Amino acid sequence: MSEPRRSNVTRWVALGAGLVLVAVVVAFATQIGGEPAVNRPSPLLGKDAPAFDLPVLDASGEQVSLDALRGKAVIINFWNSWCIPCREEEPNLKAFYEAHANDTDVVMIGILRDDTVSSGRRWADERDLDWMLVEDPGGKAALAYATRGQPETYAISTDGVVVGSQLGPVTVENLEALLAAARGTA
Amino acid sequence: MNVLGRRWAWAMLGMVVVATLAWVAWPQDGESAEERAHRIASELRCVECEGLSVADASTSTARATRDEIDERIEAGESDAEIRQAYIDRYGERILMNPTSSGLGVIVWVLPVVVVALGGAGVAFAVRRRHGAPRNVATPADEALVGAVADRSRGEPHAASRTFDGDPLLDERDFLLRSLDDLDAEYATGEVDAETYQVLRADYTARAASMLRGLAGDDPPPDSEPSVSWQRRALVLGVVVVFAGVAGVMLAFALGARLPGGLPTGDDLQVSPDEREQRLRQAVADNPDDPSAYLALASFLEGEDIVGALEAYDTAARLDPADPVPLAQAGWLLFFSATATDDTEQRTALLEGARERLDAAVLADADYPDARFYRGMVLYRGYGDAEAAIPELQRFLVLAPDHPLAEQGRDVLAEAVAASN
Repeated sequence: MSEPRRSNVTRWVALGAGLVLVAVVVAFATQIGGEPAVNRPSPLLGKDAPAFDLPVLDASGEQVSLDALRGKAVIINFWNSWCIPCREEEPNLKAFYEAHANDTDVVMIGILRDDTVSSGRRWADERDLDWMLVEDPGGKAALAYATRGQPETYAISTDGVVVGSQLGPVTVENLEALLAAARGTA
Repeated sequence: MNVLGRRWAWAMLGMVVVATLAWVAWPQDGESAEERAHRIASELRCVECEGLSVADASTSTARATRDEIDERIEAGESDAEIRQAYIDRYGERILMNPTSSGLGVIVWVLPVVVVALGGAGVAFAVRRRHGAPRNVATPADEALVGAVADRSRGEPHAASRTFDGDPLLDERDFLLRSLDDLDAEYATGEVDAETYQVLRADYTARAASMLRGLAGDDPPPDSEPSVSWQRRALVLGVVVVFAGVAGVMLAFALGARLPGGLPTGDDLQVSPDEREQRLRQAVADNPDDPSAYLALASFLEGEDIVGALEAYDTAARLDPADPVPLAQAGWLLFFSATATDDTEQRTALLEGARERLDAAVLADADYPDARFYRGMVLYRGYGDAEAAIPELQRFLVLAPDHPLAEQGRDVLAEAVAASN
């Protein structure tokens, strides 16, 4: 049936729909331009570093406990043998480790993530990775540090607090900045 | 329906809605620990996946999370405590559904507001359509409108009266056309006589009033006051600013999205497609690097067995001394063999597996994975327990803490029992 009166309701509905549409478009446009997830700081920053007590990768039977490292600046790197970015950052880790090999207040630990122990061992042997490498049975340490992949690197201060993090491959400059944060000299 | 009846109807509708919500939100009784763990896992986002929950994902982190949830349930933690532990660790993004506090409230409130506004609009329109008082046409109105309508029908474009931009003329034309439409609907029986009379009187009275207004006799009724362009601009500006602020707030609530990421705001570092693209690019950039093929093959194992096999074989060809690609390719072929019912195909796949695993052991007799795989192929594939036993024993000596060691011990025990 025809209705001769064009009511304002139609206009308000159209206005409301337009408003919602603009809001959605702005939301997605802002998201695309937002800070990438890789640069987003870890929610663990400023919190006590999750404790771990992990077996050394070389099958020596030794364990590495974070609690035992209290008083030292600790750099933790999650890695594995098959990830391409881990290979990209490996020379930087080596250079950093060699630069601080004689610093008694610094410990660098590589935690094997999402990989078999045998592959990790082989890779470490072939590449002469000299820093402390540990297994992560059940992926509990990777979970406790809220890792989303590998590589990921964390700086732990001398009093056991997470003070820095880097998602994705690190440069030597990144590592030095993380160490400065861990030492409290940043 | 009278007023009292309508109120009862609304009250009943409200009760049904409240009862439904209460039933859905009420904790379910009789839930086992396993069901509870699955439910909690399904509320948590797999941080390495696209749109999958921890319950549905098969990544190492998802598995570790499920194990941890089991442990937390066993330790007596409540659902809220378990959820909070993951929120503390990952932030609110770990939840598949946003919380109803903070900025996350927008996600919940916005749809409700939209539905409420839409419902109010519809209710208003219906009420206005059915409840608006109708005008009564006088004989003078009838005469005036009839004369104009007759004159108008003689115009060349009467059948397709169009709006020309003047609000008063548009309104007049619209009313006249509505009268024509009403006559047509009455003639075809779409409108009953009573409704026709009421509507015709109403349209006629309004059209007459409009015509008098246009002639300068009366101010045109119901004509909307003209709105200045400044006011229109102001309203438009307010709407745009409001929408922009709402959008930004919503964006903050959802988080940043990487190019190529999901519109749902999934927190992904690298999508599987992008990862595959990078691995293929690495292979293209380093066609002589076996490790590039190895990485690609490892990625493809889950979805493209043929592609993975080709990549492993290429890696083995580039570095024949490396047992890893040979062993992995052999293992893949063995799995494919166990999945087929075709005897001939199974035999061919098993031979391919054995050939590669022999080569892997030849390349490195102390590579434990190759020993385990060969032991499995010999026992499970060929049923040769005696040949499998030394392989599995060697595997366990080389890697007693291997993730597959427990399985290796079980199969070894089976093989020993079968050989006796």
